Amino acid sequence: MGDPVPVREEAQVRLDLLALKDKVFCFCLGFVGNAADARDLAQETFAKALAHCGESRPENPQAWIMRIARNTCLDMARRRKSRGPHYPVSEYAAGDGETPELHAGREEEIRIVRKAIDRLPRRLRDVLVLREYAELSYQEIAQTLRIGSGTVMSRLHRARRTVLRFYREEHHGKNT
Amino acid sequence: MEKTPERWNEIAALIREEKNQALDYLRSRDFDPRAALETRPVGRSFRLWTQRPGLLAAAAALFLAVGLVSFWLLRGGWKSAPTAPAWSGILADSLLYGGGDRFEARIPAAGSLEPVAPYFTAWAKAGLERAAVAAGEPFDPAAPVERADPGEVRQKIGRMIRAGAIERLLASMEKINKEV
Repeated sequence: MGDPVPVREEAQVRLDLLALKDKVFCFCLGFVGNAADARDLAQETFAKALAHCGESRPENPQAWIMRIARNTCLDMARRRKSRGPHYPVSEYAAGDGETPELHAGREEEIRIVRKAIDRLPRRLRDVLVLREYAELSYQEIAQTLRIGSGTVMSRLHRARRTVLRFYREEHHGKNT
Repeated sequence: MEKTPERWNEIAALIREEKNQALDYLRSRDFDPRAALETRPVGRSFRLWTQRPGLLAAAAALFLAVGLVSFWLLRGGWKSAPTAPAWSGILADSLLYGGGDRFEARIPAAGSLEPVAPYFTAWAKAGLERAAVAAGEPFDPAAPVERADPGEVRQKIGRMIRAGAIERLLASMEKINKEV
């Protein structure tokens, strides 16, 4: 381990990390598909990150915490696997001016997208979730996953194409 | 590369909607990482053990120490360990072979021992004699079975099986058993 981080610097790292709360939460949401679990995972991620930010001294706090979030999500996915399949539960009510039928329809569409993302291979899912849920740039995704920007682009393209194909097939299946 | 279909915008809109709803949920509740620290899952202690090389090394050293103490307690010292040949050492750990030494020490001389079960002894001896005669080899009751060459024993058993000696032995044992 290196020299201890000065208190002011560590406090700044903590503030930088906490500013990423929404991104981390959305990333976890992209992995698990429901807000309650995503909140738990985000809290666990921050608990780990805040406990170790002093000793780890991350050069790129965003990439560092996203890696922690990813590992935390994968840990939970492993635990879930042993407990059986997980089906996301909708926690939301219909919004203003939205009929229950319309709301149910949108929920169903979101469910199909979630199903498609869950079926993606892990490498593709990582990139898609970092891009679409955490809204990271190609460069930031490349730093987080420690891969090239070209790889990020090709994986993202494949992931989107796969999700779209599944989405179309599901719709086609329902319409026929 | 195939152009990403334009319909992706629809998917992106759905994802955006899902995110907005989820963010509303998050903002309506407390976000307290310390709570997650206090309610860490059960697997944490195991991960700590396996992720720290120092702890693993300490556990391995403790395991080795316990093993050595157990060995010392069982053997009563270190004398027998380096002098014993490898195979004898391994065999000596088995209950029957290890016990054999103690029995041999108590036996004064071959032949002077009173049989514990005379009927069984006679039955077994007769059976072995007949098997040996059937296999065409002289019967040697004093042959040291446990020190025999394993290859030779295998050959003998193979010859006996080919000659049908074992079947005859079983038949004769059955006959003796009926007579007794």
